[in-house]
Amino acid sequence: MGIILEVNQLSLISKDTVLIKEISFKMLAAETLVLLGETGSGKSLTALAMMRLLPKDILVSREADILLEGESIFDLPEQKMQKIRGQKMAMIFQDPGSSLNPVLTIGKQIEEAILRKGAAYSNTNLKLAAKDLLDQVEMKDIDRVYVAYPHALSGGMKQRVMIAMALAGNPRVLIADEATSALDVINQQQILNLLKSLQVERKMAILLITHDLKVAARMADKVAIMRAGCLVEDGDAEILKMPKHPYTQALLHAKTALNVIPVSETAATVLTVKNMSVQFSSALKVVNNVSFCLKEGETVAIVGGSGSGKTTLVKAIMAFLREMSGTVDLIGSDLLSLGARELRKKREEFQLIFQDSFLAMDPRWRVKDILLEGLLSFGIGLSDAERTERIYYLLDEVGLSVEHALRYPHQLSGGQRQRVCIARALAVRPKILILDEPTSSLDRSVQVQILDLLIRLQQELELSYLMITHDMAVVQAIAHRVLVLQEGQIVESGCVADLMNAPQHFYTQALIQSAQRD
Amino acid sequence: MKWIIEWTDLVVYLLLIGFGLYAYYFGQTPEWQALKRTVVKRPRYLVAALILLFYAGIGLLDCIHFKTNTQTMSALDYLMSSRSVEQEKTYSAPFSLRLYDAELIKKEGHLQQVYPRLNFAGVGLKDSSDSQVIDILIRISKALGLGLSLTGLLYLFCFLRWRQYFCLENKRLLTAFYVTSGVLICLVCLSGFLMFEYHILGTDKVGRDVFYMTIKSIRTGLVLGTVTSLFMLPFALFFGLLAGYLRGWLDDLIQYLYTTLNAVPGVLLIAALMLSLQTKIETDADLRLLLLCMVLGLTSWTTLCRLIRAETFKLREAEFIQSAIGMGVGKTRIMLRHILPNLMHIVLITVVLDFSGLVLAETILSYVGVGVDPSTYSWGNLINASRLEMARDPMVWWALFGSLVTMFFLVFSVNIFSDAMQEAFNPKAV
Repeated sequence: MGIILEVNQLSLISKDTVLIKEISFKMLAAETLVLLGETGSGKSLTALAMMRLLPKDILVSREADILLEGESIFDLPEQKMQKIRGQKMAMIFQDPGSSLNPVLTIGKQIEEAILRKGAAYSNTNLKLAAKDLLDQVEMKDIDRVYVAYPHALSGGMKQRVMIAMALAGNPRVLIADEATSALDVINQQQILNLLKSLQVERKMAILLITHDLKVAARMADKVAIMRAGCLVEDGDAEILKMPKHPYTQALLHAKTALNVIPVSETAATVLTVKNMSVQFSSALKVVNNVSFCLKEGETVAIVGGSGSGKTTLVKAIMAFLREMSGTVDLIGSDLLSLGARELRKKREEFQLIFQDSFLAMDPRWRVKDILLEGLLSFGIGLSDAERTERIYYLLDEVGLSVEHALRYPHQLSGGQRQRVCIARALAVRPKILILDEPTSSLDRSVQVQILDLLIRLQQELELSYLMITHDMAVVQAIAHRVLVLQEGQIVESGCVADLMNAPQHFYTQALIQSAQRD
Repeated sequence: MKWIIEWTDLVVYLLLIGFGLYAYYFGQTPEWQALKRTVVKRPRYLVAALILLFYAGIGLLDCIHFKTNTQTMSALDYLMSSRSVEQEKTYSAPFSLRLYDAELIKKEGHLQQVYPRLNFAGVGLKDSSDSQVIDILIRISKALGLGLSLTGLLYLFCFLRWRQYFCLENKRLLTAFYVTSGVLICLVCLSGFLMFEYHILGTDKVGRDVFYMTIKSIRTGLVLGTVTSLFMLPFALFFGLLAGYLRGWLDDLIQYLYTTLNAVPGVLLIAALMLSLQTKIETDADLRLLLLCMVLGLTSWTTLCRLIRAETFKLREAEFIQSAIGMGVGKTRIMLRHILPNLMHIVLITVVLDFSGLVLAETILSYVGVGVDPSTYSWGNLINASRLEMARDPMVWWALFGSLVTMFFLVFSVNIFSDAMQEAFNPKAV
């Protein structure tokens, strides 16, 4: 098989910082190269350099060369490069929602992609070609999708449309930049299968950029592992099983160091949710008759795919919503029957941690002020000195140092931000933490650190966690009990070991299967 | 001579004191430090800041009033002394020695068409264009000589005082600083050397010096722009935040209020208000300016209010607001501490964009007859007067030209400076 694309000695420089340092790799026809690395390691920049779509202030070093079928792309005029994009190289992105034009039908957008090749089509042929592409990406219900607008499609379907558009030019190289990370496990699997089968059919070379080890292990023919702009290790997929470089080893074997301790029999119940339903204006109940309880020092995980009502459930328990029925008994009082003033006081006892720590903090506030907010609001600590001391104590508790207190959220890394969010929640001494996918936007190694932190804090402070997640590995690491949520209803519940070993409901089986298939 | 304070002066002084106190107490906050740093980061921001200071300086000079035996005059009038009172007969072109229109004069028995000499331009010059050109050139070279040497002195002073900043790194910045201040100093010198001998921008229909009127208009423009904005901000912010954050019946009420205000044609409303109020304050031209600011502010807060409401609507769903609610933070605090700072960029942009709009609004109002007092010098009055002059043959263009150029540089530098402020107050840029 011939080499389709070759990257030689690629270095990228912005001002004085070297973003990418001398990386080289080759891509062969019908082969998948997985570019694996954590956020900020330079994966996406590499892809942009290959498409020659780098921002103007990033410069390519002189020795660097990228050969597409033997021809250097840096020598081409922009006009020719435009033809290459889409026809020889195509790219699909993480978020299909923002890549589709919301005011054009799916059919129109695919037809546009087909016409870009330059060949003439009659109207009927064009329609047939578009539908054929939708068929190739295994879209169901093609006639309906053809006339639908993007908002009417689910995330998985949109990603299929993006792939269809990328295929329209019949590319030799397909670059998939985190193409499945925004999808839930079941959709993710289907998309990956689809890519694999399309590759076999068309003999495409695929460059798959991901931070997800499972995705890498499933898809890779070759692997290249990046860290801080350098290629630390590359070779056949075997290196994922037997890594040589210490960084790769650390990446692969990242595991929580602490074990959860079982809940004592006598532990008091801190949260009881009874017959909770949430119904917005439409007839559909987003959360349907959910009941469960949470004990002191216990972690209950709620798992489910996207759209299963997990986040709505959290908002309902936090009493952010009004459109609900049922009771939420939290340490002796029903949240739903409390008055506004009492509810504000009560909030001291339960705190929420969001999935995206960046959105969860006011971008104009420093860490210090963010931590101070809860203290002031509940009147914890009498003097300024006392409060400052508590802030330093909190920062220390979550593994940050004093110097972080003066930074803005955007000056912190993802892991540090999530630590600040945890510190903020702990500041008011809550008994219950509600965690909405606290680790899903983090890299694997950071994920493990945060989970360790959560386990340690639970043991030190006797916290109870209610954790929303779709990641079975996280469940195994931290939870005592699991509730499986589908379409707003609890379809299965039980302790972690039982549920993982012998899932009863088919939905649970699918979730666990997809998590274990590596 | 007795120092007196007019109504508008009082507002301006209060503004200055407020700003001074603010700078004194909050000058050390990171935001203001950042603003200082941003202004000296890009040459264009520095240029804009210098030009704005220049305008503000002229405006402030015009805000110091005192009473002599015969009339009330401002410090600016004092500096431009003769030009404030001397009047030609009618139009004359820039730098001209004669009137723009011919007159019939009976000379030695028969009628003759002549362009009479001006009374206050080129006095003592011989009646040939050569001597006029030479005189102007001499004055220009004197002015430039003085201006450039002043700039040189400034350079020397700064060099001796802050030597550590004079390095290659700051080259572009220093160039921008000296070119701008040089140009401004030279402009002052040029007008100083030329304005008393010639009408730099000609004269208007009743023979008043257009250059003098244009310069006097700066105060009116600045007051109109800032005071109106300050007057409208509280309404827009208060109602916008309340409507957007609390929703419900309050939102309906506020929406109803501004929709109603918007439905009435703005000019009509302003005219009605001005006409009904002016009977009470018939005499005082200055009070009328202040009143106009208030009336304009009362009628123009709706657009900003609508924007703020929409943005608040968006922000209240943001996760950091939800987490603040989860922290038991009260509504007022959330609105003031979280939402308000996060929509300041909209306020800044709207206020700056409105600035030029307000000056233009004043023009329209002057046309209808409810703008600033006809005796107040304002760009609106000038532009309004030049409406007819443009249609005249031969055309009189200088009044329009003068006000447009001064207005342009003001609005332009306000725009650029607002970019600097936005960059400084945006924490991501720190």
